[in-house]
Amino acid sequence: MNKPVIICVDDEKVVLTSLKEQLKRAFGKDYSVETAENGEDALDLYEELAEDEIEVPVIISDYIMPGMKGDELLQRIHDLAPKMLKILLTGQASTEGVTNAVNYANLYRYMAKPWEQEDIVLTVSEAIRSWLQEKQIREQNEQLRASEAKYRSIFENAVEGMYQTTPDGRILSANPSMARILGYDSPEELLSSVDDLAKQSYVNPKDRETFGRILSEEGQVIGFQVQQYRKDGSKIWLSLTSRCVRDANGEVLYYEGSLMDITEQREREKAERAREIAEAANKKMMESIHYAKMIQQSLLPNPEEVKTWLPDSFFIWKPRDIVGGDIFFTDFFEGSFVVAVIDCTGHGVPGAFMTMIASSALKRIIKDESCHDPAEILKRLNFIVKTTLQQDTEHALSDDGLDAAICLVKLRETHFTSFELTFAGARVPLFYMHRNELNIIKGDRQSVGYRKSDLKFSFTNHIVNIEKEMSFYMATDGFADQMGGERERRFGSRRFRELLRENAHLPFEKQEEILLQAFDEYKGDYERQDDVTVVGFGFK
Amino acid sequence: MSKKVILCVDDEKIILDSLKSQLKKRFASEYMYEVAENADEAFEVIEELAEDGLEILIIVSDWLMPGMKGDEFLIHIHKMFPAIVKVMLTGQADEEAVENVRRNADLHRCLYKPWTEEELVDTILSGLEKV
Repeated sequence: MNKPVIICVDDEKVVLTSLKEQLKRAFGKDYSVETAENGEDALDLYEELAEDEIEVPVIISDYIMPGMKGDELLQRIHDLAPKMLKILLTGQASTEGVTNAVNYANLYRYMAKPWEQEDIVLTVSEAIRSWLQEKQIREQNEQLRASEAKYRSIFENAVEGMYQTTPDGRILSANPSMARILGYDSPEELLSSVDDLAKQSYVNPKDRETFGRILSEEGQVIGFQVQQYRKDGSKIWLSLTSRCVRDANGEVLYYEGSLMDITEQREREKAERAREIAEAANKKMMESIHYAKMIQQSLLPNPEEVKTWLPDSFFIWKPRDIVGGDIFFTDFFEGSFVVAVIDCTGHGVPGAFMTMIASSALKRIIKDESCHDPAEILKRLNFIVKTTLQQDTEHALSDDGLDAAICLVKLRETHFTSFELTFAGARVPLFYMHRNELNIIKGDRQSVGYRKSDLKFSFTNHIVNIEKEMSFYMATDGFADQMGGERERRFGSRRFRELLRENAHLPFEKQEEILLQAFDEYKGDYERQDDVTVVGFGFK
Repeated sequence: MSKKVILCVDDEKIILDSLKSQLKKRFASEYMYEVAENADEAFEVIEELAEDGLEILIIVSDWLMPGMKGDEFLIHIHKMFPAIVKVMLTGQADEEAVENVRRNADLHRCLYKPWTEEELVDTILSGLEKV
């Protein structure tokens, strides 16, 4: 950094030298002293220094000089550098020159020649002090302006709304973001439209009271959530952060702070909470349904165990949902066995409840009461279901029931080969393959249970003499009722029978595989219609 | 307990699809929805449904189809299953046919193409009341 320069101008070299000497001694540490012998040179000197951005706080000029006089020089300097302090030295007190210099060059001092060294040093040091002071003020002002411009820019360009409001609900200032958030075209429009925030903007005017109370008690409020009206009357949620500005006596002048539109955020949070609650409820429900599935599965015979006494068999059990209304049942006793397929009303959880009733009733009839006659089993099942659900009374709530097919197979004890099958059906048929033909025994057109059925209905037994290579099938309607194929139509019982007929010669494991595959292929992307159960067995 | 079926008959796949999707939207899995593309196919479907113990509540049939026309088809149905509610789909100009079904097949209602979802649902609902 170059030192600031004090310029001395005089046509007398001696004067210049002594002036320079005196000033250097006094200010040389912080200032350089430059000299010029006439006005022209002084102006050139100043311009050079100005170009190099060297400051010139003080110029001391003689008045009487050849060419440009001191007052003229100082006037011209003043035009170029109004802040520079100008001192005029003069021998003959020419009032005119001093007056000019005072009037047109804002002369700081004039000093009579010859001067006292003390005087000149004092004068110059005063001038420098005054120059420094003014420079400091100038710089401070500059800083202030810059920082104000900075804050103005933040205020104007902030994403958040910024405001100053009075305790009685007037808006003193608002930035463009605040106007935008509240649906106004400009801060001016907002300011001229709203003069009582509580009444005009707050959905619940009491919120403004609460806001004011917290501010006056605590001096600030952070993240105050409040619902306000926009210009078009729509409601938005705002988060206000504010502080209370007071005067010297502690009186509240205004509140100032910022606001954010948190409508979307709140809606997201609300949806998120609802989703979490629903998810938790769903999870709990699914857990309990999965537990129920475990219970339902433990009601069913284990096909592997069944195969120990009925090796040629398969059991397809596919509930539409996790649990279902279909079950199958087997029981094996000395010389004979029972196989049953049950299709209870509905599917899912209600269906599963019905299967509990059906299953425990079957066990009671077959195991406890040792009743093995299919028609009689259905009759008792009908009685138990209807009385259990109180369908025999006038105040019956439930109109549920079930369809069923039951087979009893008697085995010849000596060779352990079968010889006779008795079947009874409640709206579920028995299919059997005999000499490459598929036969069907329809069973009775009467369901088990349901309010309007006859409590004492007698089902019909059908007897089939079993020959080698015969196979038997019972299925609930879920298979034939499945929608699918190219045109979303029922699979249909004809197609189902054809499927059985074509594959009956195959091992039962293979038949099971083919049936499942055919079902899945037909269903494609369509949804499952109902629970599916197919039971097949034979005597190869 | 037998399941309840609504049967739609039309030779245009797009009509069948839109009937079915409108019915599903309103009645969901309360009923099963079967379709046939002409009268012959419809008779087959009806026969199999009867065999399988399913109950047809309503038949919605187009009038103008290849082979047997809708009026003749519904009159046949009426003779075989008088309890089934019969609805005919038709263009504006088929008044004679509509009158024929009205007289001879106890026509429940006639839906004029293009029908609205509301009209269809209203027709089905009022038809179900008769069952």
